[in-house]
Parts: sequence; C-alpha cells; structure tokens
Amino acid sequence: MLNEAGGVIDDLIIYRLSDDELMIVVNASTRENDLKVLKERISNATLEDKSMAYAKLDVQGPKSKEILAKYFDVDLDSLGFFSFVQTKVFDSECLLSRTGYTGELGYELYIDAETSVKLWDALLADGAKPAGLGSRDILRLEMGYSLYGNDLSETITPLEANLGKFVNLKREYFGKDALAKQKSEGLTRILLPFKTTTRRSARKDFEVYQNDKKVGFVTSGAFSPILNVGVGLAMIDIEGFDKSQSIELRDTRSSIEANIVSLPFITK
Amino acid sequence: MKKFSESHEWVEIEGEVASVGISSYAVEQLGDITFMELPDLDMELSKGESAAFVESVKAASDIYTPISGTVIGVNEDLLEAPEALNADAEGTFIFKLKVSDVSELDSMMSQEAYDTYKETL
Repeated sequence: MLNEAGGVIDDLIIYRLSDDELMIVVNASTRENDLKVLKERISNATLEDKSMAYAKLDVQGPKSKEILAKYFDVDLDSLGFFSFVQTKVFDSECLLSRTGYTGELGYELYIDAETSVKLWDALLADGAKPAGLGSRDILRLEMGYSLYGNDLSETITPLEANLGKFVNLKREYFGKDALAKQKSEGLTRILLPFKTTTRRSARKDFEVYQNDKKVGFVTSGAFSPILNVGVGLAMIDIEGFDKSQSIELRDTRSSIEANIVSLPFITK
Repeated sequence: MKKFSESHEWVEIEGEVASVGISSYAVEQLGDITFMELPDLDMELSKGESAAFVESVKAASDIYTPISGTVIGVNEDLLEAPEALNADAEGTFIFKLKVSDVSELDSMMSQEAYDTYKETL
C-alpha cells in the first residue's frame, strides 16, 4: 500500500475470501495507520478491524506439511504455493494458507486466539520447534525478502527496493503516478544484496563506502549460519557505483569488507 | 578460582599467567555468538581497556580486560567456532595475559559476590 509519492505505507497480503469479501493482513506495528488510510481510501465497502480476534501461526520447514496433515481434513498436496483454503481445526474456523516468509515449504494459519494456543501446544508436542524473530529474520534475509521498517518504508518505493517485477504500471492505484515517473526518469538509488568476506555482520544503518566515498546505507544485515558470513541488503546510490568492486560497511566502531552479490544468497 | 568484573569478565590466575573469559551470564545475554576479534600477541593492555570484540545474533560488544598485562596467548579456536563460548563460557578462555600487577585482582568479585551482583541487574 503506497503513499502518493510511491513510498510504502505497509507491506501486506490480501486474501480474496469471496467475490465481495477481502481479508487484509497487515504488519502489527502499522495497523492503526493502515486502518486510517484504508478508511480514507475505501468508500464502496465496509471495513472491520478484526485484529484482536485472530492469531496467526507460521508453521515452516521441510516437515511442515507432514506435521499439519494430522490436524487438517485438507489435501495439503493439492494446496499450491500462494493459495489458501478456509477450513477447520479443533472444530474452529481456520484459514490455512500456503505462504511464508522463510523460503521453506510452509504454511500460515489464521485461527481464533484460543484455538491457536491449543494447536501450538499440539504441534510442539509433535516435535515442532518454537522459533523467535531472530531466527525468522535470518531466514527471510537469506532469501533476500524485504522487511517493512528496514528495506521498505514510507520513504522507499518498491522500485528502489528492487521489487520492480511486482509493480504493475498499467493499473490505477495510489502512488502509481509517482512510480511511473520514477521509472521513466530512472532510479537514483537501488537496494542491493551483499555478502561480507568474514564472519562479521553489518546491521541496519551502517554506512556503505566505495573507494572511501559514501555510497549508501545498510537496511538489513545478519549473520548467516549456513554461509558463515554476514549477509544483508543496502540502499546504494547508483551514480558512479561499481557493482564489481568491493564495498566497506562502516559504523562508529568498525569497517567490514563486503561485495555486492545476486540473489538468492542460498541455492537449495 | 575465578574472579569476576562488573562487566562480566572472569580471570583465573596460575602463577604469573592469567586466563580471561566472559561469564555464562554475559553469554546468555548475548545469544548465539557469531564472530570474535581477539587481541594481538604481545599487546600491552591496561585494566579496563578493550581487549577483544564479540558479535552475536543480537548485539556487538567489547570485552574489557579486568587486569593489566601483556597478551601471551589467544584462543584461536574461537575464530572459526565462536559458538564454543555459548556451550561453555566459564570453561573457555579468550586470551591469556602475563600479569603486571596481581593486586588488581583484589578489587574483583568472588563467585559469591558476582552471584549477588547479578541479582541486582
């Protein structure tokens, strides 16, 4: 969802539940503003904030299908990537979606809060491991997925975030004119993936230098336990930048050598 | 017998040589350690000076030497496998010093005093 300058108000997902019903899933931290913007922009529909009624469980990993099959009367083999079913678990409504933020086989489940606790306990008893945001951040970063607040924000457009392949300039929507203009004028900066040359990791807001000249800033960074180096994304000024030359990621204390790479960081 | 500093380093002396590491509490706060920078051999360090540097999944932190001395050894295994500290912080030294002033240990905390100190944090 974009502002008029093409910047990102939020990175969200929309489920078409029926011909006239949409479920919009937003970032918790931007929920209030998202609701305000949606109310301002939508006049031909009623909007209900059901955030407090739902919990969302992400079950991700190679065994996720196997472990969920026990609880769902759904043919999980026929649930394709980026599709969903409205079904039940423990006799309660559940929207089961084949989506995720980890790059692994996985599912996102929308259930009422009480049932979600029951399912959580059951899955853990079956051998699923609880994972925190730290590990989730490494997984999504290893895939090169953007995180709102870091790689996307009100001052970063999807084109600058290198998501141009998801931008449709033929439709009409808030921010589209700004994006079309940005595209025709050419981007001045772009989000690029990098790998460090040691085990050191850069973090958000580290400055990026090339040949002792500041060329940008890090938007996301973490240590990849699979690659044993730091990985991350940085917003780089295009003019004069040489992708084939190494860069330095600096904060007040350190300077870390890195190189621009292409995604994916990890191939299966 | 270990002595502890308020910044969660420990020292164990054997004759003139001190081994220095960080406490289990420190390692717990840091989370999974991903990178370590060790001091150079022969480096002269003064009490309180930054001697090493640790990066974890959550944070980056300096490690300060609790006592003065000359660096005579470093735990090179930590360069490739810093997670060894997560496995056994108080059994894993980071660097060794030839101690210049043994009396500096007098102001450090015993295990008991450190345990009490931790409860105030």
